[in-house]
Amino acid sequence: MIRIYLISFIAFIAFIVSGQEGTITFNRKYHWVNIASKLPYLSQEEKERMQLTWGNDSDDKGEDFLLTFNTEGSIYTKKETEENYGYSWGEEDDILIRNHKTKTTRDIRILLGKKYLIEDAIPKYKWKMLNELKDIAGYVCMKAETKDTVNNISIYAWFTDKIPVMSGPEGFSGLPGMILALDYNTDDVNIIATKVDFVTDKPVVLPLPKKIKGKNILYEEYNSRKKKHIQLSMEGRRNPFWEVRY
Amino acid sequence: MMRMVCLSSFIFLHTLLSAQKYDIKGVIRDTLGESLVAATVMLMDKDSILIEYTQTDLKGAFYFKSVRDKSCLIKTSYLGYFPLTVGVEYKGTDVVDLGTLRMVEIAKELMEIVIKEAKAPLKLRGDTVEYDASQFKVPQGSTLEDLLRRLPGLEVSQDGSIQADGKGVSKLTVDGKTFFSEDPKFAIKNLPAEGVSKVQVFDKKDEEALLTGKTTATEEKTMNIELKEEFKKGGFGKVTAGGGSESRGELKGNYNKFDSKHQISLVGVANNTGRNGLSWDDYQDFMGANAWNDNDDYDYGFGGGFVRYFGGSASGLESKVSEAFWSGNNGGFPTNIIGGVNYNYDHKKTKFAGRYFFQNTGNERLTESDSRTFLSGFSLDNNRLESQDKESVNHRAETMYQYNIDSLLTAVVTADIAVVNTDQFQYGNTRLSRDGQQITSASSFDNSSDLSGRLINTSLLLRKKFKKAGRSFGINGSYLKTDISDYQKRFSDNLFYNDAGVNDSTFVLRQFNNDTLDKFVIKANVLFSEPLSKKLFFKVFYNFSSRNETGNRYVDDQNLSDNNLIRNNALSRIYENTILSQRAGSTLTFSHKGLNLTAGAAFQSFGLNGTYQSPDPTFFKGKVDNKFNLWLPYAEFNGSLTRNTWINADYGISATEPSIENLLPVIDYSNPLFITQGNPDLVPTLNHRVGVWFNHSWPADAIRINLSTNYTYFEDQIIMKQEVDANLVTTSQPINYSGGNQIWNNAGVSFPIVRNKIKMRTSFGYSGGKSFAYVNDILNKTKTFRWSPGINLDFTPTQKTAIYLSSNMSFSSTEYDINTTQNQDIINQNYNLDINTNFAKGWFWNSTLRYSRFKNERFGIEQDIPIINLSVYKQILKGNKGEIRLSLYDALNKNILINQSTSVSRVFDSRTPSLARYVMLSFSYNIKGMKSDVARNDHW
Repeated sequence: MIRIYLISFIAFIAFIVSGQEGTITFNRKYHWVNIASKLPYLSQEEKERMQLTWGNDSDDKGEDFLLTFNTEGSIYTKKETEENYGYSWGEEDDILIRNHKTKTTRDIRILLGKKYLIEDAIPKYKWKMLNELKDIAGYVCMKAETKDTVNNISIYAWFTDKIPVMSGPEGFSGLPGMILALDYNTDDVNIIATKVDFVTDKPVVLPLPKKIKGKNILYEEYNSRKKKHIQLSMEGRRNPFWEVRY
Repeated sequence: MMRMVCLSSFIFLHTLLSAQKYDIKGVIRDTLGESLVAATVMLMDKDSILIEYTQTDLKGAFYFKSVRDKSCLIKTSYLGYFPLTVGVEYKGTDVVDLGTLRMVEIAKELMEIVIKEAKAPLKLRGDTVEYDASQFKVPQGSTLEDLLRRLPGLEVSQDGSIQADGKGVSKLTVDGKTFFSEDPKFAIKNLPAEGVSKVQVFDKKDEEALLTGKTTATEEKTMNIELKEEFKKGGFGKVTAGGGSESRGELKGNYNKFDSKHQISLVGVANNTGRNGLSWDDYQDFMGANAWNDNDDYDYGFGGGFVRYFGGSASGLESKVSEAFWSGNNGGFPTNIIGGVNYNYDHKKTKFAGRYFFQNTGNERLTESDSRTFLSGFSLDNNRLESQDKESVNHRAETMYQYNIDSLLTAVVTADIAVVNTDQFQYGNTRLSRDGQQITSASSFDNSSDLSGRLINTSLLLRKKFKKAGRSFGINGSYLKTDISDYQKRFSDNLFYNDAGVNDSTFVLRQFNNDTLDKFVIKANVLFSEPLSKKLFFKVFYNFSSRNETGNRYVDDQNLSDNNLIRNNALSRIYENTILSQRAGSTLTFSHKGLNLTAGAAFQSFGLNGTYQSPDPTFFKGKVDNKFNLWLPYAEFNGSLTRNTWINADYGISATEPSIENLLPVIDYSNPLFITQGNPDLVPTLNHRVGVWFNHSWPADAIRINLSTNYTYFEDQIIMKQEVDANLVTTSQPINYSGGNQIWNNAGVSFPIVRNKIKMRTSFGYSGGKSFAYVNDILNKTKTFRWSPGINLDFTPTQKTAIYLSSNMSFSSTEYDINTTQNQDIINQNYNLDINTNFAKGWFWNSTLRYSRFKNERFGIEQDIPIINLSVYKQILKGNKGEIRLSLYDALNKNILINQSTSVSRVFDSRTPSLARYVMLSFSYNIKGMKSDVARNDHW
């Protein structure tokens, strides 16, 4: 028995070793019209008006994010772009730092103007496996679904077992391989890998920020604050997602 | 928690197994019997939720330890093979051996063509597949048949019969429904490929299979075609018709239809209420995707820029279609007939927008106005009663074509045309008196004007980006041409009174004016921007603008005895002028971590040329040829100081050139009581402006504050120098004067008192200024202050009731230093209460109360205007598509429009009675259902 496990373990290690360290560039496109047109308090006419006026967002190229991963862990950050030359908006974005060995997070998250440092266990997701295959960035991916209880939506992930690293964009993980795309509620937010680079000649160093600071909080509290804001905003007939990251 | 089962296996190897736990093992091979090594094997519960996973070893074997679920699923995945799912049932043994699981290879063409080439997601149903047909490229206009020929695994024969995986397709459905005929041959020749989203092929289930749920191997297949979402077109529309008392009626409708490429919309309004005209929503519905894409501002420059539309247009000729949607309240008795059609096209590299708009507006109004002008030692009062009847007809067409030549180069062409006709009749009387006591003159007038104008406006723009991020180049040019002709009648009978109040002279005016004005404006702008480093950004721009006007006014006096017309050469004139403005400048911007600092300067030059003369040059003839050169500095700082704090501060000088009329060294006697004279020595006015804007929010608590201040100092401001002679004839001439200023401050805060139930917004404004005029060589300094507090309370106690309470006030005071007894205090107060409630199923109540109070103690004015509008409505028809509404407008019959203002040496007050109480019964139909919400949406 033990021999079988050992063999399978060795075969597994031999197989995955080539693709364990590197970077993946993700493009995140936020379709605010699709999100806003699902708000419960708008009339059908208001929703269609929004689709009519702003429905075509093909000019919006989205934002790039970078996932850097090595044998120790991973970091997911907004990619510095040259697009905003000439004007600096100074918007801070979430930085998700994961240690795969201790299975812990050192995530920096911005919520309602406050910066939090979440040192917690890596969140667990219940993944339902679906029967679809798709090619993303040259990898055939399988589809899985999880429920986001904060936003109350379904999130679909496309993962590939050809990159056997349990990681992915936006802090999602837990599938038998790297997640290369995420579809929030099908078309609210689409995140897709555009470039996968493996580094084999030298160890990959995670580009940790100089200062990892923020109010200490755990995921349970963070999620309940976010959920409370979404509920309050919905009751107050305001789109909550102007102020919180979807 | 999922973990690598290889590791967990070791950990759990020696742990005690409870009775319910069992192991699962199996071997994975392909259909030829070869072991599949390193295939992913997932253990899932019966709802397909992943529990754990492993990979097969060198023999294709896998093993799961200590499985708790009594029934679970095993799913295997291997590149190039159909994933295989098998059910596992715990039957009391310690190990469930699944034996050999055989995975079936996915047809090579499916793998290579569908997944790799077309990048189409492959949906797997057992061993049949479905794929996203939209990813397969077929020429435009292709039928479904053409598309199917390209799909791997399908064969379409010459006669149109289809084979899938070697089996005949005998039935075809569209979105699960039969498409006219079940015969696939008919459908595939008639459905456009463009609209197809998905193609699914199933085994055809016979009746028995449908009943028993058992699928047996059949020799026939069914094909289902899913249509694209965007091919299911969107559209909405609404129509309202109402009739009421006082012969009031209204009709309004709009409709639009859109898909991913085309948008078409129609709007139409006819009413004589001045209400329910065109709104913000109507604007959006009409313009569609081009609502906020006006392509109007091509003037490059500093932050704000060069945007100073020459001359404006009193005729309304140069306004845009969009302005028809924001018409204000002019009081009186308005009528409106409006119609428009808009078409937008947006596909790939091409965007097109075209619209036509027709507007016929009329207004009848009677205005009573009083003004008082302060002169040295006494004041001049003017009481006027004017009846006006105005009607205008406009036709307007606007087009825009945009083409992306490549990903870095875009061209935009626009062309607009417009035709305007306006007829206006005014009659009434005025009375001039000294100190409000002693009448000096009285006149009655009867004037009319018949104006027609045409416009053509075209532009071309090129935008070029470069591979180097941040480098860009833009160039544009535009040409605008208008011609206006205006035929006017000016009749008046003027009686003059001496100090004793006795009529001592009479003047009868019977005049006809024939005005024509041709204008053309050429503009060109260039901008180049270049990043010097990641933080430093350089921009250089050039603006060119030339306006040429040629016009003439022929004045004919009608002989009182024989009605013959005689040319009045003293008042007639022929003129031509050209204003050339050029500006070149550059800025340097430093941007880092949310802070942006810009500094720059521009050199601006004005050239003003003009000639002006009577048709008989012996009467008068003048010429202007002035040039001005100026340096204009600019500085701006903005950014977010902390999260949720935003600040903007800027300083700049802008220059306003004197008008040609003001520069002409000619005396204008056209109004014998008010003679004007140009001043060739005038120089441009420099406006030094500094502004700060600050905004902070606490998003978790829904609190927002904003503060802003703006200060402008006028250097060489153009003010009036007036001489009033003993007969109260005023001669005025423009001169330059430095020292005037204006300040404007505003603060606002918005916060919830009870979250989502009571919200409060308050604002506080203060503005002030200093202005000057010379009257009989005495400098008249006027100071004005205005305080304007405002408060809004929104109550939304339940989903069915919303109450909005608001108040805003303004306290204006004007101080005249030469005549302090005339200092004015004007107080305007407004109180509003809106109540909306859904008081029974489908029944709604809506009431608004606007209470306005106007007070001016010096003029002895104290007026209260309460306006109450009430309406009750019931939603009818399926989906609340219909609504019947009964409205009572201005229940107290008090509607009147009031205007009050003060200027350097004059105060003004007017009252215009307007459409007051009436009742209206209306019916509305909305394709998408009437809005049944009572609360306002301030944001989406």
